Amino acid sequence: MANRAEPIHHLTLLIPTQAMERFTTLLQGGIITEIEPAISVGDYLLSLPGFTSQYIADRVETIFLDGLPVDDLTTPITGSRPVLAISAAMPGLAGAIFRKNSFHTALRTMPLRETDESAPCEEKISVTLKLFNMVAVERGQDLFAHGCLLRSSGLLKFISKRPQLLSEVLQCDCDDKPVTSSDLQHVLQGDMVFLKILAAGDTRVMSNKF
Amino acid sequence: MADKIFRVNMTDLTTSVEEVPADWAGHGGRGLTSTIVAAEVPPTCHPLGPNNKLVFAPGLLSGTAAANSGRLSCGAKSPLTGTIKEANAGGTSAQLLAKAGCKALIIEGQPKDDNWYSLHITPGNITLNKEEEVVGKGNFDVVETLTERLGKPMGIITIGPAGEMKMAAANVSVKDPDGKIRSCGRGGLGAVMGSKRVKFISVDSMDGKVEIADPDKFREANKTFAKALVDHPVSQALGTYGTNVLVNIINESGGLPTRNFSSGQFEGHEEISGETMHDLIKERGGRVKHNCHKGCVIQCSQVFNDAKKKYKTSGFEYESIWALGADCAVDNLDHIAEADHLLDDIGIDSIETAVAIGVAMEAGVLEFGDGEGLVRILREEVAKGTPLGRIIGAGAATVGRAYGVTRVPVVKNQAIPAYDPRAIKGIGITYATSTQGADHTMGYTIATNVLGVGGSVDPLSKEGQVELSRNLQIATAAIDSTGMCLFIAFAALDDTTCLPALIDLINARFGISLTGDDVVSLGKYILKTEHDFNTAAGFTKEDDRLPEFFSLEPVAPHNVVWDFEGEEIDTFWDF
Ligand code: SF4
Repeated sequence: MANRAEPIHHLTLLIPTQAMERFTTLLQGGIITEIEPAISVGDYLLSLPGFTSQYIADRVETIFLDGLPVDDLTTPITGSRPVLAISAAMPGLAGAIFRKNSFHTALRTMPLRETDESAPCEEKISVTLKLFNMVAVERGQDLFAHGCLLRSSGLLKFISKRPQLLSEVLQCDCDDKPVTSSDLQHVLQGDMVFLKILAAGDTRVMSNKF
Repeated sequence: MADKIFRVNMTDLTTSVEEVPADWAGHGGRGLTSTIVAAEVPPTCHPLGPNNKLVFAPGLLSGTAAANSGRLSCGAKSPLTGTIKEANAGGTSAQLLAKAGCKALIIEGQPKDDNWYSLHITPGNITLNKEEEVVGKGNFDVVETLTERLGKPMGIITIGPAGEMKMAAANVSVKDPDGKIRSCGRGGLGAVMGSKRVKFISVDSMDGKVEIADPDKFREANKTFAKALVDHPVSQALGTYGTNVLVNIINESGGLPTRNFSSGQFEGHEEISGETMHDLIKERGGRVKHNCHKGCVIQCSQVFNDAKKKYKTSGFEYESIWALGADCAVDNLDHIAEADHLLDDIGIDSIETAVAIGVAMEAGVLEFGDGEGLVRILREEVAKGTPLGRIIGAGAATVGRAYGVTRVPVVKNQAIPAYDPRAIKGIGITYATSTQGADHTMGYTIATNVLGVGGSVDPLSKEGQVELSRNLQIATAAIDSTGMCLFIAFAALDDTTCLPALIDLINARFGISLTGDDVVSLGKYILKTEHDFNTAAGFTKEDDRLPEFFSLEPVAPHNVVWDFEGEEIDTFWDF
């Protein structure tokens, strides 16, 4: 979780539209959002930019909460640092076993979902949300336009392995001041960063829905 | 052209083309290879001796325009497991064999001399020739040399150095439409081909065609079938990320075997995921979507280029990436791709060999995570047949025995693939009971509900889990007979038009009227035939067990163990 004593830099990247798909791969590492304790998986997903009931029903076929598959969207998100991962329908028998309400759910191992008794009753809890495959591609642009909080180390690792993608960035601002890509190492020294990525031509207002 | 059985006797170096016995006429693919092996191979024979037979059979629909129908089945008694074995692959040969009227090719006997041979198949004819030029060559070189020598595009089925050295993990390799390699990977059937001293088989269908009894009905059924495949969301995922889309999901579930099955999650999973692979492919000018044979409408294959944008490998699958990646703790896709390329060239199973290296890493032969070392072992040891290379090429169980390792993930000597059975129990039942050793493709997600073999007991009970695994294996055995790739399964599961259209395709092809019940009966017959062979070969229910460590060592993050009792598993064969 973020060390909130440190200032969190706001980084905004302007990129060509065709580079957006590759940037959405960043979402496999997870973004961090704050939620009311015990909000349901379904309500939480609905609160995210670009997610509708229809989309969740039709496309979000595989959901894991702390590594356990979720069939029921009313399942509450609890614990001190829950991790929610969402994906489109997956291949293979394993893919079928983990699909929501699948005919093959019987073949799952069913460890008990652990509740963290020692977790303090906080007003908000931090959820790490991982988006995989088609779901990341289809909803990533909306999420990035609104901005996402994520670990700086994850972003640094991501761009260090993708120099070509970084070279495609058209403009890079940190806390509303232009920075060069070589400044990123310094900007990303803190634990967390608030990242917005805008596709060139995307005129939507930059706001933080979370 | 009417189908025939092509037979080669390598002892007296004779060939024949025979009528199809009535009992074999309704079979294709796995159903036919297992029927022939069960009928003609003494179950207690040595798999590399003269009494074993290597059988090739295209599927019932191979060679037709039916979507995704180009799988080639290869069967024999396995030198790895000692059981009956069928492994199948894409590539061009199934379609060409079918068009040449070859219902099955049976290679029997063993030469008395040290010569190598090749076989050449044309409609109604098979010839046997001595071979020198490509002996000792890797698969890519073999395909390139033969393509030039043969002077026109033909099917090529070959073995690499691993098959020549009779390594128990050797593949039978099949040329694909791009002149690259697809593999009948599991069970060491390449070693059986090597023991017959057949280096390659070329197939020229000339202008042969597969006869269709009712072309209009066939065309209509194929339209419905292909549409169901194309429209399904899993097909879209496969066409975008390939099967490697599973890395993130299986890691999230805690079922991604890591560091020789000592954990269920790999910290380097993002570096080897389908999403990362997709981006690299795009950046390097590869192809995210690609097929292993003509007529595939899903295209789960891809072309992966290296950093210099040169071809490195294709058909880069989840199971190979998992085995070379998470299981060996290698988080560098370029090292994994290099290893995959070498495995194709050497002609050796990417699952068995990589799991064997994982066991060797546990023994201290190499550090976990050493991708360069892994590549070096393949290039310097396995390809050259050094003592270490031969131990690894003999499979994970042999490595475990050689180095005294107790965590050896095998069933019936065959390496367990990419899904930890502690975290995903249903797959564990299939590993334990499969007639062919641990194999994730034996009980696929085929539409048991549509076929009317849905469960009749509480599916959440252990009995129910065993029953569901059994029904999946029955349905999978039947589909394996059609020549269809298993990735039709998702559409068959969710789209009610898909499976009936597949049955209509078979009916229109042969002018028959199979029903769903007949398909189930076929699947049951195949499983029982294979099980009977294994029983006669000396296997008992005690062989239908997972290794002890799965019951003793909880796997993180869920800290679960395998908790099925032997008697619970044994109910599998009550049908
Ligand atoms: S979906 Fe994949 S395995 Fe199946 S036929 Fe197509 S390319 Fe081959």
